[in-house]
Amino acid sequence: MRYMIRTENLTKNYNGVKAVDGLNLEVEEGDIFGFLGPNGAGKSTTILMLVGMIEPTHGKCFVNDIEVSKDPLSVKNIIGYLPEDIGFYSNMTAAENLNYFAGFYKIEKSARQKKIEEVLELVNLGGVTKKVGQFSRGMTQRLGMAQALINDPKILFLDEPTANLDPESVFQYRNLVKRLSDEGKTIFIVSHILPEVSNVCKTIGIIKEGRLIAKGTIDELKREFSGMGEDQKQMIIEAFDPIPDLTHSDILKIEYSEDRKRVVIESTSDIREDISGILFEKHIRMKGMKMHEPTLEEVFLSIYKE
Amino acid sequence: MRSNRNGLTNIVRKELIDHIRSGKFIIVFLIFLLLSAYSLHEGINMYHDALDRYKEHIERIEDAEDIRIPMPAGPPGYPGVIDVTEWMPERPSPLYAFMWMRMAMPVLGAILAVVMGFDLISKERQDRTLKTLLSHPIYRDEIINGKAIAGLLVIILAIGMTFGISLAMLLISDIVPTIGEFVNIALFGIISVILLLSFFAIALMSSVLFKNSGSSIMFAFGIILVISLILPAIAPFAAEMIVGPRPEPPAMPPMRPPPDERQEGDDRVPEMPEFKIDPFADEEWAEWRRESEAYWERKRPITEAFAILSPATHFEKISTALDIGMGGMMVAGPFDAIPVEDPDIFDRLYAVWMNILALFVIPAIFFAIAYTKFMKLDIR
Repeated sequence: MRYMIRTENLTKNYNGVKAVDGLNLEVEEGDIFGFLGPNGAGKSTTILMLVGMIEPTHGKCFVNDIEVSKDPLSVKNIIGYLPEDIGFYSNMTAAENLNYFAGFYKIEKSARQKKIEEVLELVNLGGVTKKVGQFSRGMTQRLGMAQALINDPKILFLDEPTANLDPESVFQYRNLVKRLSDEGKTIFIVSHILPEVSNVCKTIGIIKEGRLIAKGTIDELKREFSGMGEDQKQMIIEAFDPIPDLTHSDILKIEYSEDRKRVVIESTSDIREDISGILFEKHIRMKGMKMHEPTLEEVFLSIYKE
Repeated sequence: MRSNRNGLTNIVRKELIDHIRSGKFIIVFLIFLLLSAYSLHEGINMYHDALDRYKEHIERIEDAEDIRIPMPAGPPGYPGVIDVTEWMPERPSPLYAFMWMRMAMPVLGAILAVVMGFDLISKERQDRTLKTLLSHPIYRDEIINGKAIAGLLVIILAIGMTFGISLAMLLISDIVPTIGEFVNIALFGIISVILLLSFFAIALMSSVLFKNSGSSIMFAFGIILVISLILPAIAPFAAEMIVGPRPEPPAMPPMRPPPDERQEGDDRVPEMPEFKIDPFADEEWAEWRRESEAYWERKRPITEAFAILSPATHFEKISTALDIGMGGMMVAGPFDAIPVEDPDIFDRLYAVWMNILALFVIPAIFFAIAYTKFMKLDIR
């Protein structure tokens, strides 16, 4: 297992306040890693240290086994970074902006033009000749994605990538991220839009007050923070009539509402078929029955409450 | 993907294009060019007038054998008459034509340089392009160095064009500088570049200090106003407060004017008159002169210290040493020591080496402040 991103006791102080506090993090090669946390948790400070734009106060961070603070230029050569609220030169076209940024990499002129056209097509900005000053925020965001891809990076750092996108662009962005992951790129996404993270990320890290407080796949986090075991299921039954006492060998816990028209069952298996048979036999008219899985929001909130 | 270590070149190229394409630069540069050309046009007219007066004077001298002009009363040693045939005015030099340009350069140059530099960094921060730029393989100092180099190149281009047009105007007006005069004009061009570079460095520093371009331009012009006008203007008063008031001259005049005994219509030139000298009064005057010299010697370093950061002051002094705007017009008076020979260009520059050094150091100081601040800039 190879870690493309690794931090060791990474710490950043601003005027005596720890924005990032002893962060230890590992992101595997090819992973789509979602870095979650509320405003001020230290997400952006972490990403800025990882992309070599600020230096840590203590600790180290490595990207592709290169220590970032020792050789930031080598790191920048193999990464792509989409900053939050990205800005471009408004007096230049999208292609001119990309041509300027591509000038910092050793790309032949002919290959450079080809690459610019390719990444612009990738973000649906191919053939757009107007100046960037006339772009909508969504177009600017898409151009940001294009500039992050201009050097064909091994690792992508995306800071709030869907913040200004319309639903169609969000859909295209998801497809693009999945495609880039399939190509073997490691993607590090910072966001506070939880559904977006749960949609594209394979692994999630949650940061609170500069410290990593949870990390794992979405399923792992749901299990860990919902209080249920790996094989535990939770289902909710609603009926028009009061529900009598239910018994089943797999039931671990059962909670009735005051009017007994709603029941929450925790069991070791999916027992919906058995329960619906019991209710049918007792002539209980059912309103609905569903399996309940904690959402990422619930997991996130439960972690933050702790 | 290997890094392309032409990051600096890439930035310089982009900044050069930005300057040249910039509407505000084009407008201010055209105004600068037109006013410079107009200043030179006026200077050329003045040169022609001075040349005509010189020719008339020479003709008068050549026609006369012994023209002695009685002079009004003056301090001890003041001659009663002078012989104009012994006092030859200097022929006006083409350098005289640059008088107005020399006066206009600090003002026009300041405007042009500030317009070029006031938003170089602040706009990058306002438009959030600095963060985007720094996410690519580039050292932070390459950004500010690239902007400074591009600014210098544009200033050289602007001054080069201005002086190219000026030389063409001189030649069209049948004024052909000698090689020596051409060297002086070229040196004037170089110090003009450094003068503009000083103002540009102030504007660049301002653009680093302020995130808002409006505040940046106000601060840049404020600094220029303070170091170029306000500090030199208050310097004499401040110096007087420090060294005290200047010595009062003696109550008695040094000598009385000689009585003119000529009658109306008498065109005889008087012989050298005998002055009636008051020995007591003269001793007082000699003492006053010594005290005055000592007073000015104490005051001079203080006034110079106030103007030390003023690029315009140094530009003025170096221009004077180069004879710019005064070539042949600063005729030695009858009391001035007659130089044995005209000092060469090295002697002239040596006389103002402190000003030359200061003119180079000033942009370096402001650039150093800009550089240091930029390297520590919080780019979150």
